[in-house]
Amino acid sequence: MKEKEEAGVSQAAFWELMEPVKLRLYNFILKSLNFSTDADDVYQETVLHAFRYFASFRKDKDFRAWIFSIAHNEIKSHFRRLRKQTASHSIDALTASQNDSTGALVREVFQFAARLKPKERQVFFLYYESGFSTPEISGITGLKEGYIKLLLSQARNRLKEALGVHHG
Amino acid sequence: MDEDKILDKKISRLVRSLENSLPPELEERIAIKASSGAPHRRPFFRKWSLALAVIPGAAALFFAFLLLLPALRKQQEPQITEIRTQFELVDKNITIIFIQRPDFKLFKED
Repeated sequence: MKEKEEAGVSQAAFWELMEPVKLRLYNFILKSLNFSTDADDVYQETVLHAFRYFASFRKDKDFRAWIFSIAHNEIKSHFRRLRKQTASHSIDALTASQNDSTGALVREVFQFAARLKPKERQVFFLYYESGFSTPEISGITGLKEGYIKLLLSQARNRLKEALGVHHG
Repeated sequence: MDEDKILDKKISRLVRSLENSLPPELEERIAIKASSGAPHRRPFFRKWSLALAVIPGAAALFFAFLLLLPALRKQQEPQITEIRTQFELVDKNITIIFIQRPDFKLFKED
C-alpha cells in the first residue's frame, strides 16, 4: 500500500517536472533530426525511458539536463539504427508563414544545421535552441568543453558569412 | 567577444522562431503507455550485482596467481648439504674421510 502511494507521488513529480521542459525538449529532438517524421517516436522513447528510470534520478541534480542527456542518447541510437532515409518536413514549408527576410535567414540557419554531422547538430541545437551553456552541454553529451567551443565557433564563423549576405 | 554574443542571440532567435507545438495525440499516447507500465525499480540483485561480481572476480584472480606462482618463483640455488674431505695413506692402504654436515660440527666448541 505504502509502495503504491510512493509510486503515485513519484509519477506525479515526474509529470510536474516534465511540464516546463517538454516543449523545448520536443523542439530540440525535432531539429536535431532535421524535422524528421521519426522525431515523435524519439520524443516518446525519451519520455518513457525517463519515466521508467525516474527512481534513479537524483533529486539534487538538474532535471532538465538529465532528460536532455536521455534525449541525446535516444537520438544517437536513432542514427545508429537508421538505415533507410526517413521522410522529413521541408524547411521551405515550415518557414512559409514568416515574412520574406526573416524566412530567408531562418532557412539559411536550418540549411546550415542540416549539413552538420548529427553530433555537431545536437551541440548546435543544445546551445541555440535549448539554451544550455558549454559546461552543461559537456555534461549532457560527454564531449569535451574545448571541442564544443570549437564547434560553436566554427558555426558562428560560417553563419556570420551566411547571415551577412542577407544583411547586405 | 561582444560581437559573438550579439551573433549568438541572433542565431538563437532565428532557431527558436521556428517552434513546433507538441502534438496532443503524441502526449496522449505517451500518457497511456506510461500508465500501463509502472516506473522501473531496480531489483535488489541488479542493485548489488556489481558488488557481488567482485567476489568471484577476486577468487579468479587469486587462483590465477596461484597457477602463476611456480613460474614466478626464482629457481633455487643448489644447497651444499655436506663437505667431504678424503685422505688416502697409500702405503698403509688406509682411507680417511671427514664428512661435514650442517648438523655436525667438525670442531666441537665447548
